[in-house]
Amino acid sequence: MDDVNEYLDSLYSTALRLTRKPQDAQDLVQETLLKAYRAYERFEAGTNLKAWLFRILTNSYINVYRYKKRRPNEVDVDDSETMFLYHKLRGSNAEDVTRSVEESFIESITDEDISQALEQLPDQYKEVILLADIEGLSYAEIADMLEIPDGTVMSRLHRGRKALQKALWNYAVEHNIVADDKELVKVTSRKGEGND
Amino acid sequence: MTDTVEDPCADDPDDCMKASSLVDLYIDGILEVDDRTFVQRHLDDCPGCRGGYEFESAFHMRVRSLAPVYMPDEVKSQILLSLGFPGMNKAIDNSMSALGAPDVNVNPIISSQMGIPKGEIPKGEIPKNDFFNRDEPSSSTEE
Repeated sequence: MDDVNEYLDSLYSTALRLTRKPQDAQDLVQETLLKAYRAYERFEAGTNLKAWLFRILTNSYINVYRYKKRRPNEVDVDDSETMFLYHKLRGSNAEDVTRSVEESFIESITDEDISQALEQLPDQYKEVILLADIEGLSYAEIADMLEIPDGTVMSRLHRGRKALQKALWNYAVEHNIVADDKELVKVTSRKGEGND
Repeated sequence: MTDTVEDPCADDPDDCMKASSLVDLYIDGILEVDDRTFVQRHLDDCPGCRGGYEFESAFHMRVRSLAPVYMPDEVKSQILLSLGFPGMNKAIDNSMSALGAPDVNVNPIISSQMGIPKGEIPKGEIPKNDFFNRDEPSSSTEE
């Protein structure tokens, strides 16, 4: 049964990834629930409760938190190429590279690695990735909640995903998850490491 | 094995570039018919782009499988208590017990913001508009 309780973890999870601070995430969820409670009589029966709650959450975030800070190490979105990781993993010398490098990279990265890479994205790109890819909301629902055209959701998602790949690559190299010596890309075995 | 390595996309660089730029939307299943057909045919014919598509699909799936960060029960309790909703579900009740939390009155500041007089929602009672644990959604559509 559709129930606000059902979405508390999703709301908190997204709030934490947006704000990066547990206390801010808690405050953001609290504010979201307060606004939702006040406006609950206006919630339309049969519409998506999750999308409605996330709309309140994202608006609250944008109004209160988004412009508080600039991060120094944000990845440059504009110069990210299509299929960035794939081309990186294929390496400059294709003779040395097998498909297993790509597969082992996917298997090797942890949730923490992805979360760290997400943190390097500018907010407007991180938001659409969290809402579309992590929470599974539709382009139309995201467009409605962020009050932007569907096409803007599409382009932010496209550019954000490319930037995420670039950020993840930079993170992986920095943390020796991959060794990029221009001749052969090697993925470090991380067996036994947790994935959360 | 092969001695020479050919760029699998060398024959049709423009088509490869176009297909690469559309792969994202192709995976999301939101391309128009013409573009979808173009990408499908190109992937059938181009091993390089097909490899890229397979990697992109796997990467998308990996990102989508990112586990949620679960809200700690004590944080749930704090939030619901601050909003004046104690005892909303068993997990929260349990966490309150574990914390040794006393019986709680409605937070006077928040409740006044919400127009709820202190004590109107006793511990364990469902709020008047069934905000939590609703069985049927409200049918009101007024703005």
